[in-house]
Amino acid sequence: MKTEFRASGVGGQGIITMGHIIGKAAAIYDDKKVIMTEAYGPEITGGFAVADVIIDENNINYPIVDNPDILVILSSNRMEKDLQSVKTNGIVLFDSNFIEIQEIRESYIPIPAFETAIKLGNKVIANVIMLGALQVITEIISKQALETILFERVPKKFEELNKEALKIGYKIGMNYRRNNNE
Amino acid sequence: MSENKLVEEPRVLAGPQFNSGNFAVAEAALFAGLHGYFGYPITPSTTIMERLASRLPYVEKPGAFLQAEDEIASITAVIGCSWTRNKAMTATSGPGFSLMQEGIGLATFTETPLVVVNVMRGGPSTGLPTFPAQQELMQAHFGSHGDYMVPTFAPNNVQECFDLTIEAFNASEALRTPVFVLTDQILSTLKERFLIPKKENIELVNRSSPDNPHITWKGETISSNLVLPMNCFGEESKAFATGLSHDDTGHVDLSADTYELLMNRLKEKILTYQHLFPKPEKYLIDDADTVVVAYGSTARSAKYAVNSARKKGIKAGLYRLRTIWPFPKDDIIQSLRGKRIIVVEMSSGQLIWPVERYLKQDVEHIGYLRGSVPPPSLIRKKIEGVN
Repeated sequence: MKTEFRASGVGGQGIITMGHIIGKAAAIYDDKKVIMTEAYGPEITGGFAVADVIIDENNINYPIVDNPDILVILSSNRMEKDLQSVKTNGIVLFDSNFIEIQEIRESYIPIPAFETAIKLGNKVIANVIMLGALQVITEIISKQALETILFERVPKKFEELNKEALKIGYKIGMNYRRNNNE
Repeated sequence: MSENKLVEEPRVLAGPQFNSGNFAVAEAALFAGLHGYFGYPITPSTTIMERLASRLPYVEKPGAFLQAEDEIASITAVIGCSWTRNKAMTATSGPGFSLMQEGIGLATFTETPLVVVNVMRGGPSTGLPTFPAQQELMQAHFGSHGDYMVPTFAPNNVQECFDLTIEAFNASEALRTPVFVLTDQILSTLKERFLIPKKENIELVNRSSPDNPHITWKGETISSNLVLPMNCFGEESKAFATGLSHDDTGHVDLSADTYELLMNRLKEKILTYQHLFPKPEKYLIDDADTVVVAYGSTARSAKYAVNSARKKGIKAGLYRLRTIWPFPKDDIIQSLRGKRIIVVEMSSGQLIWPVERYLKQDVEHIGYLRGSVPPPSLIRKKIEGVN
């Protein structure tokens, strides 16, 4: 099955990192065919940032994400455009701190990533909280793959913080898990 | 995302990677034994330079890295580095490739092994600096003044960015010639899984020397009549290099016979060994009525379109060039003559020239100029004959 994923936000939120971790986890550890593309504005921080990942069992030729199955939004600046592109029953995870969606659907899930990151003492960890929730809710990648790839790139002194953020992310995700067996 | 932290890494990475086309080009160059990178940053080629800046001087067997004042200096420094018997390269885009043309001519005439990667973006002039195009196919052949031919390879996925960069170094060393790798903005940032093979599984070629005039490449001995052994600067035997017409020792000779002989040999050495260059990908063309001809990231979209057309029962195929120059004219005639042909490119019409010229038949064309790969639906409709 082909899954199209998009993470959208602004530079500095770790959007591209998120896409890279998902892409690498799926490609190297889950042994899927994966393509990642990225787009951003000319500004280093504050410009739009989009990471697109396609995951498939078969070879992927056309590399562009047109209609994501899963959309993660961390900032409202491109929100309307991105929400329009998402598939009808597509899952949307959005940061409930920054984003208000007028016509909320059943598959739109608020994640208090930024707020929780601040509580943990570092706002840059919001993307990891989101990754944790995303993994549990969508299972786009396996838990093992996510953790392997994440911790292979995290510097030692931030390891504890990342572990904690991931754990909280998993916990938030459990509330919204579709087939909740636990 | 920057992966360019100064970390201690081996010179050659091993195993599966998940990264971009530009990353793969840089790692392939290190794998091939790159010793000197000289360049000037320009989007979308810059990340090749960034990666090599953080790797080349710090790995075991370090090499030289220089950000020159411009592209003219860069290509000239690459030539100089190569003449010290070291593998050298540069990467550029758009206007940078234009500025390098003078030096590229000098490199062909002095038979200097080097690799130039051109990550294509929309032109002319500053054009569409952050969006893909395929508008330098002709410039790769005719960009500098004078007659010459530079072998030109075109990958269309990240694995090929790695593989064809190594092929480019091998071809440049084996035939003593500059070699171009043409990629594009899509490939530069597109990340895929690719494999860095074990060192012993890949043949690396080093240029011949007066002591060792007989080198082999892919099992073939390279004729020392066509490719002269190279004396380099700083070695015992004297080395001569000039942009003027010269004899086989490199000394100036403007006589008609010498010039004609030299020009013919330079052409002959490329054409004689072109069968060793990357072969085209022929996808479902045997029974096809309609064949799309494309290269680079455009061919990915074309393949998708061909698959869609096949699902509807239309006999479509794809002929993807991996070597652009010398143009694989015999193969394309043999494989495609008489079929309905659609050339698809991100250019108003460059690839269509050699295709029309050699096939000597009407060829349909999609020249996509919207700063992205042509959507598969557009190609599929053309295949179906709906406009």
